[in-house]
Amino acid sequence: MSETIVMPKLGMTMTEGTITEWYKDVGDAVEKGEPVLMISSEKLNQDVEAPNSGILLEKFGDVEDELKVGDALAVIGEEGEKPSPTDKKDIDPVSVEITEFEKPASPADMPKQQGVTKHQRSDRIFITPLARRMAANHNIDIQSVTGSGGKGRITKQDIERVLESGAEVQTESAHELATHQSAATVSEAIVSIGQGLSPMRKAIARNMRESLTQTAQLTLHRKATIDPLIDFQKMLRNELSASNSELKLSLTVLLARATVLALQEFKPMNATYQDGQLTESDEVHLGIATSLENGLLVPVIKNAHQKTIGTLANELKDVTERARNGEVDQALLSGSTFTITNLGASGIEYFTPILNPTETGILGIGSLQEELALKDDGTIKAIKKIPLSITFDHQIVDGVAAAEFLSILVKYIESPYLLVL
Amino acid sequence: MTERTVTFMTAINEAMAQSMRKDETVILIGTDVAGGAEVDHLVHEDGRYDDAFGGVFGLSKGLVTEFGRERVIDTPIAEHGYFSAAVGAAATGLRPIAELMFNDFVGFALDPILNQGAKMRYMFGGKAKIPLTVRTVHGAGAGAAAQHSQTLYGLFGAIPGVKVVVPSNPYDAKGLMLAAIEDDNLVVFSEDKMLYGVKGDVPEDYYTIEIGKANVVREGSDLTIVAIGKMVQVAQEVAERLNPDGVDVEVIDLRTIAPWDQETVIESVKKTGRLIVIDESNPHNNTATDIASVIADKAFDYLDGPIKTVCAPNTPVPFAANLEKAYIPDADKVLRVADEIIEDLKKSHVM
Repeated sequence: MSETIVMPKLGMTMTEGTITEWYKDVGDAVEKGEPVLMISSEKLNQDVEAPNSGILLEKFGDVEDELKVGDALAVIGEEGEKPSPTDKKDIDPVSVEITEFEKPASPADMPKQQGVTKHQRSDRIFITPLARRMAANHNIDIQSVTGSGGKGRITKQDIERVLESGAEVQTESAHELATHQSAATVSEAIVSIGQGLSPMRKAIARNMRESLTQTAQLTLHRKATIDPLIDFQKMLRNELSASNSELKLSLTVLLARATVLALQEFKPMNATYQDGQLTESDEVHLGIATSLENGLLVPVIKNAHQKTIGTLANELKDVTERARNGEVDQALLSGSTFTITNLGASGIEYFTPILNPTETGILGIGSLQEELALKDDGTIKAIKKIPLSITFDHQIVDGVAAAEFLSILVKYIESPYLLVL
Repeated sequence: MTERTVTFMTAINEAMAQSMRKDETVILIGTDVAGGAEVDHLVHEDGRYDDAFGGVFGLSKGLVTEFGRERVIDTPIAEHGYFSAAVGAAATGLRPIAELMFNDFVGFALDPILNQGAKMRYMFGGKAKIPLTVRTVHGAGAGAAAQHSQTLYGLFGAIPGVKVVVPSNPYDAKGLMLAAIEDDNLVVFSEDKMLYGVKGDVPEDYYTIEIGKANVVREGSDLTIVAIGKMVQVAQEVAERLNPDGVDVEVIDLRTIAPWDQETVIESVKKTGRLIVIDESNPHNNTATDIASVIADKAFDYLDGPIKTVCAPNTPVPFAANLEKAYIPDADKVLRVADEIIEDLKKSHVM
């Protein structure tokens, strides 16, 4: 009996994956659990393993092909067996262990899993002609709209509610529709987000667009005197080298530690806001924006509030290296409650970071600035300052509160002995 | 203009009298339209006649006294004959008003209307005008049973070349009657007998209301109700009763059912997205279904719900008072039908 391998769903938001490499050709023998091909989606690469031992009977895509979650990738069966015609359609998602099929959820959750099964897409949606036209004009996915009209019809009012919430959902059907119209009427807006970009860029595009449409972002800037922290770093390094420790303590680690403490002291900034739910967190899961050659990843240091400076340093090194080497999984990339992004190495002073979606704050760190300071006795002294930029969601946090968070952070930076508490 | 309050019936009588004074080619012809006046055996000893009753409802009372039997002509019960005479009179220079006592009797009068009056101007290349006004009476509610209570204006409205007006109040009745008489084509003027006693402000002066133009009697943004004749009252009651739910109803008095005012109804539906048509006719092949079909075609992309019609059931008009009441569309029925298309509005009002 042949078995079909389908495009797995690697994360909540994954809708399609790209075939990166085939390890096996048609006719090759495969062992159960052996990688058959590699796929990539958003930010992840993932080997897809054979559900059973047998012969690779058929492949349904070439390298670079983009397939929807749930689409058939390959058929494995016995030597000489003909893949039955139903194999491609009659997909058994259980045959791939890593596939996390979600149960059909409320219509509001539909866009997340569009394309998961053909069946859901063809379900009849009741919608008035007016509402249908409005939805088409605004590229609203009507599958995601709940009808409040008679007999559950979607009416104008429901579309207006969607428009008010700003949640315009780009749909493939809208896109397909658009491509069938004359070229002149295809406006730029109809092109789906991240279209034509690599999976990673597409994911970044989606996240950034989502961030800017779903939040009210404002950025405050402030400098902190960093000489005490540099002195503290030197002192620790000396101690460490005296005890032959391998540990390397960067300023980034110390700033991360300061941030963690500030977040614990000021919870509103350590929060997520999603689907109408604001969650202030006691735990700090710190996202570290890490630039790659062709994009950006935000690996997460889990439970950063429980880590000493030393373990924090190790973990920081670990997660950023794994991100750069592509050794990431969904767990590493999700669950952050606050994110730090550091452009200090690029000479940037201040900037306006974009919130990592669902978080209410992100800290941008600039490069050290040498300044002259007037001391109390009238003499002048050279000091170093570090520019800090905090972007926050003004829906959740007000300017004064964000300023207070920066003050707390500055306190930890300027009084670094507090970091060991 | 001086205004006073008169009944629907008086408004029509006044319109006929004013047009007969203004234009001596206007005549009134029909069964019992004069009544007993100037009938020899009814003359009193002092030479005075009893005032004529003036038609079965007394609507044309006084006209024969003022204008004489030459212009107010009683006929035998022979609708085919006198309607043919009326069409001929219209084609040859008079401006007759022919009364069909109940529209239920249309079978006898139909050929002169359907095949002669409605065709001559067209078939004679425009050389003949047929300025004939057919007055008739429709509507249930008077306990007049199945042969005297029907609503058949839609039947006239289906004939090309015939205009049909259905007034809903005394003011409109007078203005539309004068316009109908002035019109050079065959106009059926269909009066709901249940409106005869309704009073309203009516100017004494001569005035006309444009045929083919509907009247927006109440502006609203959520739901359009198009109503005909006495159903306008029902529509207004529905509008009042939906107001507390936050549903803003626009009421259109159609006034003319052929040719009905597509522009006004389409514009309204474009605004509200929802349409109910109330028509006391039987439910199929009537004015309401025609409106529904045209709007479904021309305003499809503006519809935010199915078009609903509220009509009488597909039965004869019952005689029993309770059944007759159940037969006629009323506000409760309209509200039940409206539920499906205003559910979302009611929900959002509660929220």
